[in-house]
Amino acid sequence: MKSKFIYPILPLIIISLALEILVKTNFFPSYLVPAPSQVFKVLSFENLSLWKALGQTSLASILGFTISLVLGVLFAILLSTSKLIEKVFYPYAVFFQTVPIIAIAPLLVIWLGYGLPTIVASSIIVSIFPVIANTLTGLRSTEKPLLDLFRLYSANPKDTLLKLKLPFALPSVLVGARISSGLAVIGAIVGEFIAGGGIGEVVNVSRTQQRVDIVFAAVFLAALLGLAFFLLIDFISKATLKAWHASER
Amino acid sequence: MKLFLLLIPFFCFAKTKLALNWKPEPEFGGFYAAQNEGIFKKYNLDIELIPGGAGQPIVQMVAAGKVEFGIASGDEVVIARARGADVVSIFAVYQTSPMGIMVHESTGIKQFSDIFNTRLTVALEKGLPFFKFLEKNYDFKNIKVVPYNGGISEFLRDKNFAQQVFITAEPLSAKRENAKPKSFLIADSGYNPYNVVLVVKKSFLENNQKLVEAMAKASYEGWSHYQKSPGKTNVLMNKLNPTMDLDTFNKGAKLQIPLIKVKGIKIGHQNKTRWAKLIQQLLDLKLIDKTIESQECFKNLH
Amino acid sequence: MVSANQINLENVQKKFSSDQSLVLDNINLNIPFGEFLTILGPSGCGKSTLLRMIAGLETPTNGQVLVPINTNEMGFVFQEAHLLPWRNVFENVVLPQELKNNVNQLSVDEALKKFDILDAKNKYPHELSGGMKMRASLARALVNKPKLLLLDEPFSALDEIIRQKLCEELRSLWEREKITVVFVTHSLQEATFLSERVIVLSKKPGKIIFDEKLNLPQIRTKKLYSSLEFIELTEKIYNFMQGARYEK
Repeated sequence: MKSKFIYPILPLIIISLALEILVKTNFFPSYLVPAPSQVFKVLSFENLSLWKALGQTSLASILGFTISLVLGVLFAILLSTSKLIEKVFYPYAVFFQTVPIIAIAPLLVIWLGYGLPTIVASSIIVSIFPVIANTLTGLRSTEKPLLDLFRLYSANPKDTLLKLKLPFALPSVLVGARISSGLAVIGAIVGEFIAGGGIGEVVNVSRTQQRVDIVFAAVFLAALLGLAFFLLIDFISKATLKAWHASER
Repeated sequence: MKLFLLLIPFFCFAKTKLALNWKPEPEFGGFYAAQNEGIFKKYNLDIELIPGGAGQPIVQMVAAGKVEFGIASGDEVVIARARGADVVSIFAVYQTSPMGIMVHESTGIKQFSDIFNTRLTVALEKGLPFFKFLEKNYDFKNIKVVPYNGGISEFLRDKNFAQQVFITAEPLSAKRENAKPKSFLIADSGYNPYNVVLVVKKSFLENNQKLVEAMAKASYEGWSHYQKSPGKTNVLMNKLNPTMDLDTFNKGAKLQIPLIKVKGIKIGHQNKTRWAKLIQQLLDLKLIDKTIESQECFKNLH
Repeated sequence: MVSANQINLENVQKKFSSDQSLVLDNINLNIPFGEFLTILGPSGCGKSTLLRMIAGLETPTNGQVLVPINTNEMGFVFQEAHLLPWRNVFENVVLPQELKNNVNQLSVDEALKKFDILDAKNKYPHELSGGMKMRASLARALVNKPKLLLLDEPFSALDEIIRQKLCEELRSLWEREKITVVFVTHSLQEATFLSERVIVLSKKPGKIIFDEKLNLPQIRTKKLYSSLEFIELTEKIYNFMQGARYEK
């Protein structure tokens, strides 16, 4: 368990040390790359507002992610009910993946106003597609003999969905959730650029003020948030699937 | 060896780059005029004007040597210098910063301070120094500050919406959309940095004294020309930036004349006192944590 | 004459909907209730399709399939166990009853006992060996006390020893309960050992080219393999199949 965390931290330490030396010896000017010690200082004392921003971004990301998960799964279930419905609506799901959020975020502000709703909407738009796509794949991957078995016992559609298809899709849903957890954070931050608040605003403001140290600190926190999300979903997947799914063994 | 010889022309004829911090608009008119009217050529300069966009770190690009010249605001220069980037302003387009706040006439706001006594949603770039200046000098409890995202669509939609503007640009667009805007210069409230200043890295200046001097002189001639007859240049800029119509270009050019030409000051010239005042203001606002030499911020070369 | 206590297939023809190719042709088959019938044939000859038609999972393109048994009274076992991995053995076996809303714990235990897997009822599929999984799958097929048991090469993925053991258990189950069994396999030994009657399908499109009742003792153990009658019988079917395979 210990070593598991040491491996990824090692390169961080090495890169930080190298960067520190390069910046302190003026190889890199500090207005372009901040010294890691300076970033650390920003993280530890200077900025309570930075941690407050992290809290806001976390809330928006969690909301965005949760709604993505619920809506994405429901949408995928709807798509899986018939080939026709899939043909008609799947392109709209793909739309979510290809939409340049930067371009429509200003519109979100006009529709939803400044504040949390816009940020959450941005988070959803960016993070919902992997849930839809993976859930759909999962729902389509039910073992055929088991579908036959349910047919043989004339199971009703509700039972077939809840007792067979959805549990079978669970590993895929969780793969989608893992991808979308990181995206939810990105979407929230993009939303904050436009609608204000959170890490997004901190990055925006400190960039304008040429405070690269704060920018780096904020980006670092955003990355940590994404990582925490990812690990949480990973933990949940392992806990739920441990008992039965081969890929998690 | 052959390859090396082949490459030489690319280095010799590499253009000198001037990075703008926005799309072609009247605030860059003098530079486009210098290009268009052959003034750069007259000074033996081969300048490439590179339009920019929101959030481009022009000062850092100049400091890092990615471009030779860049456009910034006076406060950006001071902050960058305080952080160790050795950039110098060699030409200041606006003596009076065109940065302002635009409100709807229907709000009944008569003077700048009224803005803060009215229930308004105000879109401001929180990272910009003037924001901190206003925050320090006015009570914000009546207004709701939201991020400034460019454009005027929200302004047009909401009568209680106000936003930061370049008074030579957005108010004209708002009028075209049949709104009745009223704008106030932030400069009048006491914060007036030089704006649209031409910056260069100090080491580049020292090593290319002649070229930089020529650039300053060409800029002066370009701006002098644009102040008098902006017509042809506006046609050119309108082609490059069709989102703004020609009429707005012409009106903007006219509006900005007094901001650029002030009696008794040569266009583009800067003085030590004003830079010193700006440095002090930024110190008071804690945007820089040590004072810097005002003399070092600029150089009048024309 | 169609009677109510037999399964009857008349002039059955089946084409695949995808490429309209003929899978089964001119199948005429009567399976009296209580018979243990094995369908033998080369792979791809349509024997699984035939089984699925009896189960009602496929419909014939032409002809008639009459199965006077409710699908609820059928049990089906696939080539692999196909258990639900998120349910333990008990929960897997109870599934058919659960879907009918008539859960009866006692009958589940009974089914588990029939294939000697009661001790593992709380284990999850990933904790089970291949043989154990198949036992659970067989128990699931039996939990509704079916009148008809359909098996589609159920032991083909198991090793020899477990396969033999399960064959014996299946045979003795049939001896005790005399339910109708249709068993699909490509193993001649398995077919001869288990069944009362063997039919052989030709290569695609499958036609019945051999249909014979086997004259072997009721009680069957490993010893049967070394008996003369068994060897003669397998030899006979083998030769027949070999002929058919090259016949085209």
